[in-house]
Amino acid sequence: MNQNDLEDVLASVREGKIKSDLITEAIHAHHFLDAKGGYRGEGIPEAEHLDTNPSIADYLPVFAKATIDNGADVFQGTGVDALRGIEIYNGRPIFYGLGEIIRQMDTFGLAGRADPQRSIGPEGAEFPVKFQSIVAINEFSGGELTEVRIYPIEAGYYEEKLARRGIPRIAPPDVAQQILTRLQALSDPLGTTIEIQGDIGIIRP
Amino acid sequence: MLSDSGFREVVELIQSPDAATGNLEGKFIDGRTFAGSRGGSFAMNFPTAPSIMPGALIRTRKWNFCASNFAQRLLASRNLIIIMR
Repeated sequence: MNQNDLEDVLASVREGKIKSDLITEAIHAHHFLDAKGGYRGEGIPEAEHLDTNPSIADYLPVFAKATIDNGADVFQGTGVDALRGIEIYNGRPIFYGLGEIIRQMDTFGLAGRADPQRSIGPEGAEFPVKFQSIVAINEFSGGELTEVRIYPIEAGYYEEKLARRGIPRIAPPDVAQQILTRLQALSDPLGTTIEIQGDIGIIRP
Repeated sequence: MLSDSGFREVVELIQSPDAATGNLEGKFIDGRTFAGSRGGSFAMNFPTAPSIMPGALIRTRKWNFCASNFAQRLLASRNLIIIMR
């Protein structure tokens, strides 16, 4: 990390905390810890597609925890096209990767070039994981985090018409269970227990 | 798009807490019932956020990795976005 940039960000966080009841810090980054390939979906072989690599770059926990140490109440990681684990640090949630709640990129295409193959891997392999994300509601009481509720979202990967794909909807039960059990597995090494209640994940710090 | 009950459920979920934050780099292409974005790159048009969060306050900070490829006018809509109702 560039230490000057880090100091700038942390100073902004401290200033924001003075001016706010609650402050979030967000980063948009596509960095990984390894290059083993991306997770693409249940039952689908992994492949060299780093956009869905769930590993967490080494600087990210350092950065996230520094922002919390300086006053951030929530840290949210974006950029990577798939979910990553959740960590609770000093009573504050760190979402290392929230996935993509809206995904009409394939419908619209980059710079206006519609390209329905963008999410289709080699030999037609599927990438449903890119259409799986979450809405996380963080409950604070008296300034302390009391609960994180995780609502699985599915953005219509299985829709036949491109016009119907990419629109976020509450995940159907089978997909919700896939998302939550995967998030459990990703978060467990970070010391986070996600309890599944119906089709919702619950974290109680 | 809000006529889509599944999508409406998600919007209601996002609207349910006191504050919501998100990275609005995605695009909505439906312009009939939802003020989504139209052309361009990784950026959602400004009208989109208030469509999701009425009365939203949008604040922006430094540009980021992807935004460096695109026009300055888009930066404000795709960086750190804080939406407060």
